[in-house]
Amino acid sequence: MFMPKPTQKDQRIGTIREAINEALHEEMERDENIIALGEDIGVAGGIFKITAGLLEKFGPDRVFDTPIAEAGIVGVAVGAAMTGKRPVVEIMFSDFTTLASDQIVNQAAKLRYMTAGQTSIPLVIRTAMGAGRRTAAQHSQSLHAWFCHVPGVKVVMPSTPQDAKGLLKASIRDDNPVIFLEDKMAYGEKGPIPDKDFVSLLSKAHVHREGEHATIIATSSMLTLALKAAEILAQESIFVDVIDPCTLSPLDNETLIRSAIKTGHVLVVDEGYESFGVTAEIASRITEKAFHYLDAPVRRLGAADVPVPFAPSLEDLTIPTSDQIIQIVHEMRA
Amino acid sequence: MPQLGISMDSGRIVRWLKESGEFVTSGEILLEVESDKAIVEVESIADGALYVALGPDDGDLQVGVVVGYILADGEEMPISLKWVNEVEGVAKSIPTAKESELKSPAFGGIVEDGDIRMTTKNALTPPGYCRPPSTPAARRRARELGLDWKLAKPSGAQGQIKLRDIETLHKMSQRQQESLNITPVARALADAVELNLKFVAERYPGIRIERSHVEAYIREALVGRENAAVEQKKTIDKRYEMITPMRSIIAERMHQSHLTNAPVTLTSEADASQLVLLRQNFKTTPSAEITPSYAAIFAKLCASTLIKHPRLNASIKDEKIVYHQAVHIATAVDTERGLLVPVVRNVQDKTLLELTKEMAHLFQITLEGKANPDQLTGGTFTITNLGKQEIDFFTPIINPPQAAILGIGRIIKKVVPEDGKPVIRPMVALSLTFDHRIVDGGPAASFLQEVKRNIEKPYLWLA
Repeated sequence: MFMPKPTQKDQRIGTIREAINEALHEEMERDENIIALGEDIGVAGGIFKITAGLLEKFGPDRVFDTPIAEAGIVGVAVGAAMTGKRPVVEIMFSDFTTLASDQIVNQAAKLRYMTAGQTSIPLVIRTAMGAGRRTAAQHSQSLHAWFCHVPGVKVVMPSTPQDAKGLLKASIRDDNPVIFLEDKMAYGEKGPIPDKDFVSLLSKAHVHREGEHATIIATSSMLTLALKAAEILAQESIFVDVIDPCTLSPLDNETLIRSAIKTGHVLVVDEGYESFGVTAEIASRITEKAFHYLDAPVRRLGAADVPVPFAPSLEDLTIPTSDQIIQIVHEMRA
Repeated sequence: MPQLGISMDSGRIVRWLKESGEFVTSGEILLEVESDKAIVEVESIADGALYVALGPDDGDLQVGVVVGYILADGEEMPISLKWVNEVEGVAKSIPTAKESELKSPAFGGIVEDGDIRMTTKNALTPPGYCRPPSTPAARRRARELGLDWKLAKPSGAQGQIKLRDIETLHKMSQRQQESLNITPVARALADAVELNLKFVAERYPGIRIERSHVEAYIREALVGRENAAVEQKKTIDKRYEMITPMRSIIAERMHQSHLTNAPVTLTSEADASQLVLLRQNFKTTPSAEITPSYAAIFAKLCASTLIKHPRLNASIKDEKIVYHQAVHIATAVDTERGLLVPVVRNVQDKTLLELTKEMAHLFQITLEGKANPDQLTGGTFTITNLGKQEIDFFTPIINPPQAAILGIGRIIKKVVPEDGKPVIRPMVALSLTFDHRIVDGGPAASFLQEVKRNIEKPYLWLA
């Protein structure tokens, strides 16, 4: 598969926030059918300032400040998508997608199939996930595994500014509903942002680091922890593959399985709850296809199976750490 | 594994008559056990649900090894099915299992630093199933290399064979093959003279073995053999033979005897004139059917004496001294297979002539290797006679669990004082070894004294 790589002069250093904002501006400029809906996205520019400048630039006919009613927002967006618009919805916190789950699961995911392709739902739902912001149990969850369980919805989770820009553009241009998950703690993460019209491929994993001793598959902000762990492991002469699947559904099985076959030791890290999570699905796929190459059971690392505590000291304990990653890599190789 | 005989230290399960999960009551026969002597039925000692831990496939089991459990109502199986589910933290998942249970072979686990390591057998594997823990990668790599993965030395933290262990195995086998880097001609030559090429390779390490090397090696070997033959004449030759099962049993018994007993040997000499005369009279009496053998005479004589000295006809079992009512005399017999001790039972009730016939027959079948185990075990006292080999005194080793053994030396004419004058008498040397745990020196000495008196005055016991 072709993976476009921006050249040095086409890129600048910026944050994930800037990358997503840029992608929205560029896409809305490119295609006037793209509309934006969400709570406080217009005048306020979004709770995380992701949609800043959209209302000023594209006007109230394309950028809508909606009431606090997630089912309604997504319902309107699904209807608009059926008529040919390409809505980009913002749900402030991924915890609130539960309110819109009928629209997502029973409507957006099903209509193209049930109408035998007479309509399609080119809808993007952007939403903020992840713990660490001291916003307690109802504003800190990572519930993407739920949507991965529903065929008809794509689930995209970028981890770098470059991927955020390229993957959001690809999601907007995709004719299917996409849940686009942004880690609320990673908006400030800096990295190269391609300047030109840079579009990534969905369902293509991104190999960030290569090694022969173990594979760390890390999603979203877990990638930063994995790369930090890989750096420390490298000092011990343990070299690891670090791979971000970027798109969880559909998943780039091939890249993950190839790496598993190469290293024989695989750890999957994801901020969703560890039980019945994305980590389990990836571990299972690898075990099925790379079984005879595994030199240790595939290991999982996810958020602790508890409601995210409000107490900062306790909240921190529920989130995976790079120390845990290092320890598990050692255990697998023992 | 129950102890079914005094000297039984291991046994084999022949079969279970009850199955796991069956309810058994006290007194019901649970299983059959084979020891070195016989197959014995083992009864239940409690009521409850049976759980079978070990079976016939587990081979020879030490006495005391747990072969099964009888569980009272509501009692948990000693082996938790959860424990193998997660190798990590298994110790936490079975808080009820005691350390001693974990260590038992039935459990299949061993405890190290409070952490359970997998062993080749675990609780969920059926009896006789033996597959070492290993990773899929290790097994695949071994298959690719044509190696038996089970030969690899496990290095994993859980005792599992990992990929690296197969690579190590591969390197080792490669090194071996490299060391046998040989030209076809050299190989053919070596094969022709049935020479093991490994020795040649060791002689010329690190190079390709050619015909000249093999020839040189053969020449060296021939010279070496001649030299060795010369050397051999100068030094004592050594001959090696494999230890036979018989020899290993003798070794074990003798060693056990030496380890557990407190042996003391007393010696004395007896005037055997009357015994010699007794036999001569039989020989010269035409109507006498047979002449009593010395073996029979000494057996009968000892039996008569032992009846009065029960401590010498005893054994130790479970911290108790067992006094045997009957005297079963074991006699040491040298056979081609090694030392055997055929036993004549109830010697006290038999006549000299009966004993002479019985013992002659018994020794004959023992020498022929036809004696059955019952005829070779169960003695309460042993006599060993080295008279034929011109031995006088020696220190016999007690045949456990017996209390004593009497060694009889040759009967030889000696000058002894009698009424202040030197006379020539046939004298017999007596060596009594007794277990000081059972008998003190005094009673043992008085026993030997009485044996001596009975030899010198046979009418005392023949009457």
